[in-house]
Amino acid sequence: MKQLVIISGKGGTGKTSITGCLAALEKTHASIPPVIVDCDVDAPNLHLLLGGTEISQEAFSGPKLAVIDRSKVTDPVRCERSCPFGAITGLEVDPLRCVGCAVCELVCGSNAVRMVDREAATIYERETPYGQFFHARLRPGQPGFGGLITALRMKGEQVAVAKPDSLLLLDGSPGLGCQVIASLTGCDLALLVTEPGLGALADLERIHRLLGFFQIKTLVIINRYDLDRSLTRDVERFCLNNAIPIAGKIPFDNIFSEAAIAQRPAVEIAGVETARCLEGVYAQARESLYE
Amino acid sequence: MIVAVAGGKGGVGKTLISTSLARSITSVQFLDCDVEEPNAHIFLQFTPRKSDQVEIEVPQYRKWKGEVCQEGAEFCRYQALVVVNEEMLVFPQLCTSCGGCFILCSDRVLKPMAHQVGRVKMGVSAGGIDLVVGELKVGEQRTVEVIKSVKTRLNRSRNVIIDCPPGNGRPTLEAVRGSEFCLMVTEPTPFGLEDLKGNKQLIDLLGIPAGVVINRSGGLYQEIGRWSAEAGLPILAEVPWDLEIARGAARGRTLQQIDQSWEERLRVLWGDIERLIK
Repeated sequence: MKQLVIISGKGGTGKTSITGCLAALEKTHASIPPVIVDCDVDAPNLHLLLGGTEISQEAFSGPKLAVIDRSKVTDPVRCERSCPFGAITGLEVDPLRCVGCAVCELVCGSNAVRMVDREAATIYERETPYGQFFHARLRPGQPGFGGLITALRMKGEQVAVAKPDSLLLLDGSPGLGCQVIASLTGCDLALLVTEPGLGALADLERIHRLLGFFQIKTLVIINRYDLDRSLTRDVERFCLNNAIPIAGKIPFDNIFSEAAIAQRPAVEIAGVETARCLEGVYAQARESLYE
Repeated sequence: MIVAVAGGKGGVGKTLISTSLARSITSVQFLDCDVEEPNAHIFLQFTPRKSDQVEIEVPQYRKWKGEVCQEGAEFCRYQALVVVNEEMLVFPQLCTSCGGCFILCSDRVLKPMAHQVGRVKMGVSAGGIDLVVGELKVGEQRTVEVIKSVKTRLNRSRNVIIDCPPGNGRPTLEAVRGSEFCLMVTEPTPFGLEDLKGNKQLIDLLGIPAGVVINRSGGLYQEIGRWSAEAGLPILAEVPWDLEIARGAARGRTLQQIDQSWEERLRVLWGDIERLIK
């Protein structure tokens, strides 16, 4: 099993669209279909492209929530002040501030606080035309935690390891925080999707530094490269200076929004030029994974 | 007035809209709370005058005393503190700085140590906008701490615009919290709609009024307008898909720098927000 993660730093560069295309290409060209995991649990979208049918869903608990029994609180003022996150007011716990650290349990008096499970997310398993697919949805406003992504990836790995030569495709989230870190640890290859833009370049530089900590082999994809060729050259220069190979450049093509609306991977309906670029990216990624 | 600019999905144009809005009005403080990927300074050209570190207090193990604190390690809900081979290991990136271990463990074993998770840069941009930019240190995970640190600099005597991170989790919640209005930026695709729905749920938790801006509008997908009407969210502006805007934004130009007629439309948008707050 090989694990390939698609990330970007900046949002909206086309991670999900490209992941969908890679899934479709792997399904066509490899001997067995890929296993796909959407690691963007905050704003998941890949399920909209892959379709298919839901096989199962399960609740996932995140950091616990403190519940205070006021009759057992020995020193209400001290109890209220104990919360480092200001989540306790009038001995009521605000679930939107509580991170489940349990410090109040230590301070408020014996048995005054119970740390209860809170359903933080739902994990879904789907059978799609492109392979088995796992995704999750975090409840709005929940504290982020890598544990959910690790759990999702484990589900994918369990399916993928059973089949030799299988590919586990991971669609990452924007940014470079805990969820991104949980998405990329242990991957064999990271595809960095960027675009010609000053913001995208700044974010590329930051995510590249993050990847340096993890020693993961990296390839860059420049999406919409023809929107600004001079900025594309800046991206290429950055890649050259940092010895990051470019897996391919994809032209601006309205087919990506049309494909999102049609809820299909763009490569299936794209014209010759865009399809060839996507196939080139796929070939480069495979070569890099198996060399 | 305090206005947050969010929307759920990444790359829909939150920073383009928020910085353009900031340039169209006076007496502005702009808070860049998209601390994992802060880009507002590219649109607002500023020279930082001051930079403060964002630090959290993490435990430091005092190995030379030869003791360990099992209770502290067992207590830590984030596995930031563990006992291995009669020694303690600290993972500062995982620490939430709750201080529970300090309550349970003797100061002979653990002592507090400052750990940098990011920084906050402050300065004035070309248009006289007070800019406060949060930046998560690469490799760190305490996004929310950096956002909270940015927000302690909020100046209520100004018109405050907050550029929020993508996603609908705790970081976005902390960025929006305390705002009087949330401007939700989206794009006319099923992805934009999906994340806008999540954003609405998040904003509802805070109970503040909101309105939608559709970026890259035009095209065939009409679901954003339909859903917004059902959800009772007004569409306050539409920025059409336009090659010149796409190219300008990529180079850090705000809407009115790309096309001056936006200046007036942005002021109207600000006026609409003002009315909706009242």
